[in-house]
Amino acid sequence: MVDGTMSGDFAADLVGERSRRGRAWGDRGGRALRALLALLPPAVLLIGIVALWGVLSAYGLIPSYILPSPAAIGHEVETNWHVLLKHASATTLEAISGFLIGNTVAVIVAALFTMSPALKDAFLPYALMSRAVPIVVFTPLFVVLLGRGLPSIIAIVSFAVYFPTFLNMMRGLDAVDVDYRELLHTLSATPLQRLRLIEFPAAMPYLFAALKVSASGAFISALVTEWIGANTGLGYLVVVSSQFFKLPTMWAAIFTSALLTLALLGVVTLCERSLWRWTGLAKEL
Amino acid sequence: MSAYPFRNALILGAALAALHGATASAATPVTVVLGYIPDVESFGAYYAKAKGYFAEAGLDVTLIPAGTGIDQVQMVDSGQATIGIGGPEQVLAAVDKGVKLKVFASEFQTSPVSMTCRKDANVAKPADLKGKRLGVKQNAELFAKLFLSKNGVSMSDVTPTTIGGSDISLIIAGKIDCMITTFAFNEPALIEQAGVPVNVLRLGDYGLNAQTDSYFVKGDWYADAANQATLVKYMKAEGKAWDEFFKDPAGLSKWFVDQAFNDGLNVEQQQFQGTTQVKYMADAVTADKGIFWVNPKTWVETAQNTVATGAAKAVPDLTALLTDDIMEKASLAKH
Repeated sequence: MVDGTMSGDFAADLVGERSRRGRAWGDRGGRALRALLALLPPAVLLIGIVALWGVLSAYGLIPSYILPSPAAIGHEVETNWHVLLKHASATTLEAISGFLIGNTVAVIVAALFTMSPALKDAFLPYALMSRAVPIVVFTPLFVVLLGRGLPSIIAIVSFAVYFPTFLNMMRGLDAVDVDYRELLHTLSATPLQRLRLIEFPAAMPYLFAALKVSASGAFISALVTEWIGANTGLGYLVVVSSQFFKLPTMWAAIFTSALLTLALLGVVTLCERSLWRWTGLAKEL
Repeated sequence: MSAYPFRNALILGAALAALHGATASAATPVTVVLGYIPDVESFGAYYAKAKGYFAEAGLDVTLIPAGTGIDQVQMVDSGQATIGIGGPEQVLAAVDKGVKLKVFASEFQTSPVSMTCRKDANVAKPADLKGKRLGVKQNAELFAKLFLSKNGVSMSDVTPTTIGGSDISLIIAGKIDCMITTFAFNEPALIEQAGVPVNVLRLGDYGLNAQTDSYFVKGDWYADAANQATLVKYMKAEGKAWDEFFKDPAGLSKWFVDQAFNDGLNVEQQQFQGTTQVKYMADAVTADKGIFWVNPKTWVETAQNTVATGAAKAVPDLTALLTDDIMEKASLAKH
């Protein structure tokens, strides 16, 4: 208004807008508080377990040659953090590389099989059979073919994470709503268009469910493979320190690998939430 | 002052680079796959490399640590390694399958492989095992049966329990009386550090001697005289390192741990290992011939034991498998 006063409608809109913003901020604050409160029970439980463990160790009820006290492990982390960091970096590189490569290949192959039923019919039985063979059987083969160290470990991790994602993607790409399929069929959509517009979005919840499984699988595979094919990494550190009975080092390496696994799982969950528009659709996952 | 300083500098730089390349390429590459993860058992190779003994000998040595899943024979046979360091049983099993190898040096004259018993179990000799609880490592079952049978004890006379490869918690906890196999200077020291006194029975004293950590190459590769000369240079360089070790095993064991070739080492255990392992590396033969001597008598015993466990069908032609030419020419220190 030119005379400097607000009209009633404008004022009502402004108040309404401010009220909505206030509610939005309130909602965000409320969500943060709820998230914090959700973390409280597991945090309290963890503190309780560690405290009990410390007391039992102090009284000799948990022998140190089986499980060192939390203080001993904490001391090891404090004094040898640079050693843990060195080996953790190696394992993280192996796990993340294998995770990315394995899952990328799984998605591509699942897409190819979806676009070409003939390819799917020809190769799917062998893909299923390969999963029946334990990964440890393939490990020496990869080590002989690719040499010890990073390439063979990444290859093994990729192989280990590939299958859950491949299977879930196949399921997800098939889970498109029939109506959408029919619509695109009537519009003469190409296979690539179907893949981009309806099949990939439908597969997102399945993909992220598989990614969470392969997040833990990636670190476990890296650790196990390091026992066989590496001279660095948390898995190697676990084996070597156990052979020389350095139990605090061994347990520090084990806990570090558990934390890294949780961190990767957290990253996958964050990515899933950022894509909630698609990933939130499959409630059953 | 030259009229073309920049051009001359370029020519000089290129000449220096070519000279460096020529010098670098003169070093003979040798890849060695060790017998175990890096610890004082492989001291000689690491020390010789760190102090430049290999470089002085004109060798460019790459060391590949061993570990679970490493097959030294496979690596040598496939050309991934020049020299393999491994157990004689492993070599004999491979030779039995037709692999052509040549053993030219052996680190241990007495096998460090042993059985470790709690002192309070009162096992001073194999016959005392009757009625005792015996922990048998997963990959040592055949060895355990052979050891018992050679010493008048059968598996039914003991209560066997399968244990993990590096599991000493059961013997510390008193759940088992003895465990087999152990390395005489590894597990016993760790068990005693946990407060449990032990007796160590060396399997070599009971009919199961072997030259553990024997050095071998591919048979075809060895046939070339130039390669034999390379092995002599290699052993001279490594032998120099070991000679120093014999003079100060505790001090140099600490040196090894401080170099962080391997992050999981226990310095007390490594010093114990170092001071003890020299006794297994030396005997009357090495006092006469020099350390790392290949002893055919020990190999005969090992070969017969390998046949007895079923890992080989027959004792091979040891004159074709073994050679003392390299150690004769290398002429290492006598200890």
